[in-house]
Amino acid sequence: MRFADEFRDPHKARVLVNEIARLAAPLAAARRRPLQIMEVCGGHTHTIFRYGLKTLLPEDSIEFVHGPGCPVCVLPMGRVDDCIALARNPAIIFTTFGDAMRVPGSQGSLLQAKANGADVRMVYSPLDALRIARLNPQREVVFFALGFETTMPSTALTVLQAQLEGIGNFSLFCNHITIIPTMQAILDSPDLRLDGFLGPGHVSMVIGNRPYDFIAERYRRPIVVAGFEPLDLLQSLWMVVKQLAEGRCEVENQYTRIVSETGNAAALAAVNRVFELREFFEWRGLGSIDQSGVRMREEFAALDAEIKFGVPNIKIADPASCQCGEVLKGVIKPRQCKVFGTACTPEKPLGALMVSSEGACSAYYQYGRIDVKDRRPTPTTPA
Amino acid sequence: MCLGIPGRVVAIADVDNQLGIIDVCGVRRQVNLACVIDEAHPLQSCVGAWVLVHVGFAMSRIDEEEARLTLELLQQLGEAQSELDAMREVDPRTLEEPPPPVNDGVGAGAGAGAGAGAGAGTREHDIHSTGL
Repeated sequence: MRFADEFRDPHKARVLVNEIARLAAPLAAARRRPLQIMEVCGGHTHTIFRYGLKTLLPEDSIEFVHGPGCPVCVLPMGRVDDCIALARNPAIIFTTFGDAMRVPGSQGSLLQAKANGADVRMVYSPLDALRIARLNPQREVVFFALGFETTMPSTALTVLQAQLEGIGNFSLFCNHITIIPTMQAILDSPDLRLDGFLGPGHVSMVIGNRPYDFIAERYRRPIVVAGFEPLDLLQSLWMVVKQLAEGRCEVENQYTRIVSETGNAAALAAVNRVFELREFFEWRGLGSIDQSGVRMREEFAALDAEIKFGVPNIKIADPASCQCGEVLKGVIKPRQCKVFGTACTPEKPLGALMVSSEGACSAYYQYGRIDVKDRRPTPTTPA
Repeated sequence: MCLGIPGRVVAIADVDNQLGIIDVCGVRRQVNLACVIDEAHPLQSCVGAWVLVHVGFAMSRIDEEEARLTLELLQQLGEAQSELDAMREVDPRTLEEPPPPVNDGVGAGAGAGAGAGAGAGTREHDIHSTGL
């Protein structure tokens, strides 16, 4: 595939791994612990595991901390319940991205609701949901909008298109979240030990690099906006470690073929036209974070499913056995969760981190089992 | 949903609604081009361009020149490292080390019945070792 295969060259990867190891070793020795680098985006977590990058790097000098950047994973149970309440309304065709179908709420997932007769349809694009609305004028079509700034422009443009065409039976259940307050919350956490960040490539494609300035200036941490191929990630990690080695804290951009300094003006204009910040938004595992979510502006109330139909909006606690919150905060690794791989698997997830392919637990489950370094020694019984 | 897929715009489908057709590895789909057009890049200029597509929207043009520069930088880093490796190889201490007899042993052992094949195998092994 164009612009993918070129960034998977094993020889170049080897060169980068050597350079990272050489630069990181003295830094880790000085700290008496590995450098802790957070990849904010779930897509990066996926690449790290899929290509075994974690096993290529020296574990005593580099440790990846998996960030909260998987929108499906941080969706609280109460919001899934709200979706199901909407989907059970016989007047409604409930449309959603595939990732969200299996996220468990307190009364099952959207997939289970569909099996029980609710009209839930999986779509690739919000424009597909709009097409369903055009084709079914006698039904109400609700699109479940979620994601960070990456997907926000697409739902904003879909809403504007619906308004333009005067499609009255289409509405949005808005659960978009924003990256900057989230990173701020991570940086403000009292037990922060992170040495640097790999910044989310596709969020930055929309918002640009400038919003991260405060991370370098105020919190004195390097951040490198990274692409999603293995070489992209290794090069970005090398850039972070190089900054640390040279005592610099800057915002750098590795993903220059996609990300510009100022982001995408057309996309940002659409987002600002349709959405405004919520005072706070509830996250699974992380609790409430100020100004971390958006809602639709009043002007678009007729297209806002939350206003049009009302949702129960009940706060539901995560199941007691599930430790998604601790994993999200980096307190424990997925494997250390009590139910990892036993009661909670990608086929039958208990927690959201096991659902999406971008979730840390799912990545550990799918690819991490071949990670010998990560395996704790188990007592062997003589045969 | 956050992972985009690169595709090439092959046609404009609807000028009013800024829709185009993209080709992704032979699969064609209608996508919205609103986020990749501006005054400097009108709709018609999209045809032939590589774009990154997210959930039915082309979200960014892929800058081929930047992609080339990134790869070039990595190439240079690799060349610098091989040069360093080469310098290390002329270190007098390494010259003192006896030639690795292991390869010959393996080659001879494996090549008990096939002489030429074993020779080729040994050479491959050598190349592999220096490559590391």
